[in-house]
Amino acid sequence: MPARTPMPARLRPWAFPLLVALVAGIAIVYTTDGSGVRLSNNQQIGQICAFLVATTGLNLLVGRTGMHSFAQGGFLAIGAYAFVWTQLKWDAPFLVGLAVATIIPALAGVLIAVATTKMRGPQLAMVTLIAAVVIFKVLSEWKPFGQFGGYPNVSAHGTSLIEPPSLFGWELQPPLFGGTPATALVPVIVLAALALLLYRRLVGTTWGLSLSVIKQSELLAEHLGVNVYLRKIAVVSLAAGMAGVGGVGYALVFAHLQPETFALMLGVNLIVMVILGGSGYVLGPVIGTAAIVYLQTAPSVASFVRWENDVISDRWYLSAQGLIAFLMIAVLFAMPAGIVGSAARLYRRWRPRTSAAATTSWDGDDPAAHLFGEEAVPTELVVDGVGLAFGGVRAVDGVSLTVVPETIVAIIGPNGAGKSSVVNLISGVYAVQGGTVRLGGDVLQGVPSYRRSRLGVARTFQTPILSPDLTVTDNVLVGSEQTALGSCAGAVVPTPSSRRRHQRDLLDVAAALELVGLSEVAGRTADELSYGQQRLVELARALVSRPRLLVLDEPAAGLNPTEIAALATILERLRGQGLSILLVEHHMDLVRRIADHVVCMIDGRVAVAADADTVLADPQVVSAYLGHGHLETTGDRHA
Amino acid sequence: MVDQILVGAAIGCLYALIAQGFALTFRTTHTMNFASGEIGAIGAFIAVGLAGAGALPAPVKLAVVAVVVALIGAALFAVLIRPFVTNDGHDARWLLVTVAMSLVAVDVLRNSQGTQHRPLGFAQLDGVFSLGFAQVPQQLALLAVVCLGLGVVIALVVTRTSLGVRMRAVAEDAETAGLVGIDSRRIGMLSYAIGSGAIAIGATLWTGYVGVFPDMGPLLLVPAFAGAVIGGLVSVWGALVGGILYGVADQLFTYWLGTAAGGVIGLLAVVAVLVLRPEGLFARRQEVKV
Amino acid sequence: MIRTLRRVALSAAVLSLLVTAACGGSDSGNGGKSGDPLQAKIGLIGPKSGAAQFYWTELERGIELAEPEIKEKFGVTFEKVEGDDQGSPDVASRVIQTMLNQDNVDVVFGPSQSGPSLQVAETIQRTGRPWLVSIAAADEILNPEASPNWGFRTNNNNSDAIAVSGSYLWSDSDAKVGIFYGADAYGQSNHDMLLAYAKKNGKTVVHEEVIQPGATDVSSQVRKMRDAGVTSILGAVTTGADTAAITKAMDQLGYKPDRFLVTATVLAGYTDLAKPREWENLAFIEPRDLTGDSFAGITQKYEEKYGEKPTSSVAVYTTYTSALLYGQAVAAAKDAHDWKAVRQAMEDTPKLDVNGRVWEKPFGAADHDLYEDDPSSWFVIGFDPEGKVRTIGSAGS
Repeated sequence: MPARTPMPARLRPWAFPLLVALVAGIAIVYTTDGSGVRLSNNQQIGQICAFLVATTGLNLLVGRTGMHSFAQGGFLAIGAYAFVWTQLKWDAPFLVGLAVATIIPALAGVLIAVATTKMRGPQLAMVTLIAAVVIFKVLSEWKPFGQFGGYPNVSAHGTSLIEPPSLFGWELQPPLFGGTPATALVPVIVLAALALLLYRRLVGTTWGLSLSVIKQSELLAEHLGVNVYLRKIAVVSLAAGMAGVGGVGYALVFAHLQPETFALMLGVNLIVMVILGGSGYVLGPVIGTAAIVYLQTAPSVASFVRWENDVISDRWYLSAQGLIAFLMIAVLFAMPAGIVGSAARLYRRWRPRTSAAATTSWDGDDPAAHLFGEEAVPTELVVDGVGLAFGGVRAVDGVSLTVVPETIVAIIGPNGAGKSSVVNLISGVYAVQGGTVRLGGDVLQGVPSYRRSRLGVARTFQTPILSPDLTVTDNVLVGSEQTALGSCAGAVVPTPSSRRRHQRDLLDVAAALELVGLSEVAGRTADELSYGQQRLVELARALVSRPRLLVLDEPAAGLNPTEIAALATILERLRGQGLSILLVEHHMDLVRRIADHVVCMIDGRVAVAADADTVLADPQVVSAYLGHGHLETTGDRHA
Repeated sequence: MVDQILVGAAIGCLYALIAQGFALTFRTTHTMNFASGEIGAIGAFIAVGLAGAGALPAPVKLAVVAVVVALIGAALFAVLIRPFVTNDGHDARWLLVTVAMSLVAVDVLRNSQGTQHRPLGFAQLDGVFSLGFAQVPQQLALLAVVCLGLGVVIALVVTRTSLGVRMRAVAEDAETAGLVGIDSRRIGMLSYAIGSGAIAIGATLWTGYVGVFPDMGPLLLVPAFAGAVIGGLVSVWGALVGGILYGVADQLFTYWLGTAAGGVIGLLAVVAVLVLRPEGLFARRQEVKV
Repeated sequence: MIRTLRRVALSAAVLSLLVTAACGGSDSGNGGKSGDPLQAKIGLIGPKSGAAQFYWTELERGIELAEPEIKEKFGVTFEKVEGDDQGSPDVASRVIQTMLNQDNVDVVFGPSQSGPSLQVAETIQRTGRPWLVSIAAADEILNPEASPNWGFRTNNNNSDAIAVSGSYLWSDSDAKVGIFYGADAYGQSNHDMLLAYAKKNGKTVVHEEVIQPGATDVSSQVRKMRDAGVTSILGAVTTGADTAAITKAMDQLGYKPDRFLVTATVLAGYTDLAKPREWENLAFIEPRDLTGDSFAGITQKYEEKYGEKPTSSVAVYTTYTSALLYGQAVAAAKDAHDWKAVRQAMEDTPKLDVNGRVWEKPFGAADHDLYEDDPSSWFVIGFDPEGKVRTIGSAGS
């Protein structure tokens, strides 16, 4: 399903670059011989490669981050016009033009990203649609760009083609004239190959993983310390910059810009290319872009239209554009994951991925000591008089509690008592209305979730949020600090230190998995695990960030008695490492066994707070539970 | 300027009606028909075909158009859109299917009907209402009255009747609604039927003013979508107000700044509204649930 | 199960469509170099699909109508290669590439619209192939600097039309002139030309208003035009419907300028959408006498052959003209495949006779436009109350 995040097949590291280089090499040799007969093929290959840079960028948005943008065509237009402008105005060297044409749309992308931070779905689509329309209007009605007369045009520039730009003293000739080798295709093909390599490289890094997390749940991303706002800005502007590069490619191939090309329809087509090919797959846009560009002028489509006219009707028929749209509908029905995606799934069914292929295994002594042994600083959580109201309802009313290091505090209470709300106030889902929250010396209230995560708060959720398609290792890896702090540039260019860090992160993941007892399933995808195992994956993910405070929202819900016993042991080990642990729990057996201190909430207030036995014997607590249902003492409750 | 406001409001009523269709289907199915403009075009071309049937009075012809297009809308939903109804906000396949539907429809209409404008042939009023301080072309007044009337009726049905209650139940939780015997598929088809039928009437009356042509879809889609989004997407009253608001704003900006800048500013105003209130003007912000 | 089956069947259908598309149609022509020297392989390019399909229809039919006459008079026959540019410049560029280098056509007719024409102009020019521009009117399509120039235009260009329009608009010396123009290629080009004309002749354009194609209501634009005191207006919009929107608003506001001059685009559907009282003082100028025998004769041929009225009779006529011009040049050069000779022959055309209308030496090395901007050779045309065109008189008087 589209919500899934496909991961690159595990090839040898050099296999994909080699393949891309090989294909690019063949394409270059094929296209630059200058013979007239192949010129239209060359032009088509050039256009495919130019669009491919843009659709690969769009794939980062649509396939990875889950943002559907109609504006990619607009950014491509900005890049193309900016590039031609540098050529006409300054006669700039190719690389200068390329840089300008990348940066300007990237900045425009920042603008869009800032404007749309809080939007999703239809609102986001609306804004990108407006962006596409406005960009088209500006380009088609702004005098300096020749309006509909084209850019460049005869009356203003004396010619309607740009002079071939130069690259290292080479003239980049467009594929327009027989007998002239189409040297412009060399950089276009190279840029397309680089875009594919960039994409493939990015999605394998923690930075790329963080995009999938944002797509899965922005809330989760925030709680893993990812500044979703900045990361979205980064990915949108990266995609826009790639569209700009695509625009340069377009300008090189056609050497003349007409605004009609860049109307809203281009943006729609680019999205269609990504989804038709298979969004989220590196080869998806390749197939999608090639198919659509080819089909637009394919001789067989023309003969199919003639066949329609002869056999069906010369009025009621579909022409090329209608046929492509029809094909799109058919693909959406038949191959929900696109052409490449469906092929990949078929292949997987025929040849399942071998598990535990590339995971580091833990062979050290004490995983808990590895994670928390040396550096952990015992820290106290102090919640003082916090409140929260929804509309007129006070969900949390003046709640205070303290979690001392090396203790486990449990919050209990009937449904609707405000337990989860307290957790949400601590992790930053909601802003506190009055009161303070402190962790050690740090004030938490007013601080966004991602910063709280970086200050050492880690939590799990009532229903686990995992990326079903990612392996257990990857699901835990996104908890590491690098997901939050790594930069895009750092992700693209590996340095020895970044490699070492990555190895260290993998070791942490292995330790965390060993700690929660999931080492065996490290290579499986998350959706293959039992519910109980999935909860433990979440716990492991929370642990790799080496938190100072661990907040667990009903960790035992849905677990069987054996699993609950194992969970208790894990939590006791963690307590032994000096962690402060706060949990919301219904399983009184578990609470009784591990909680050093129990807080019972009723109707948004702390009713009783003491040790477990005292609280559970308190008449107020008993009647609250009886009034709302029953006091659970057995482990058969399933969420 | 009063003239411009009135004319803008009149066209805005058409945008509002289409926007209500968006809101209605988005509530019940989490999808919107991006082929709405083409649905209107199909209706208008059917109306042109009926224009020859002289014996029928205009309202009957319009009713026939509405019923036929409503059936088409329901069928399109059941066959093409419903398979892509999910709760996953990132799954935008419904959007692509409806966009593709619009491209297929416009292609077939162009090929079969030609790309030229042609007269509607009935339900056309020729003249101007003079209100003393302002003037409104009668056809636009008719358009406004009919669209507004339909819009209010739709909004009342959604907010006041038992059908509306069932729609809301599906909107809030399709699964639970299913448990109490509400068929979310039928509610979805009904929403699409109501939306499409209403659009057909509105678009047909509009083509009485501007002529019938295959490429009219985008002229209606973008403003109506804008109206729906600033109205809050899930609120039928919000869509009604949002559509009219956009119509008036567009007309006024065009009057003040000229066609080129005015059109752009009108769209940027929509962006501004969304930046300030991503949930739209008339919908309540949804609290995150964890 | 049925679901899976359906999915498999659909997948198969999609794949087979893609595969046939990928494998089919590698019939690259081997060029027209061989065979009958008087059989020309002609490339036709236009928006066969897309929002302006009638321009393709008129291009195709204009040539089809001329073929019998060309065969009879000059013994020249056509083998046609058709290309659908979908109204899109990048598609046009690819289609042209195939025509020029794979199909090796002897001549290109089209693209019908200005945008795609501007995209491919330089390519055709530098490749060197006879090129007939019969419908697109943007001036820049033919580069005046090009030598030799491969393009020939048998429609009037925008600047000629504006030069004549200008003299008509300002014929009353204290006329206050304004312009409505479409936010598209045609409107912008006309607007720029009118401003250039005004500047050259020491006049001023008092007010200008942009019309969004397809706009529901243009009363605000018309009101502002009226309030600016404009008495003489040029309307340069692309469709009859947009003109109808303007005259409707004028009627509603009771605004009657002395002169409201539009262009021949008004022929496409205007009278269907407007009322007789709205076109009372409407006129457009044309270098062709639309009611004269030459023009009406070809329109009549069209109606007889296709059983319907042309959407754009002007496009049919100008394309018919271009086909004749080319056929005659092929006969003079004696070999359709000798492109240079054909080009030269067109440039040297001694006399062109289109159904009775005669041009003597219409072209020169620096002049590849069939029509000139001499107002006395242009006509002012309007509609009678029934909506039929009527020639009001010569634009020169």
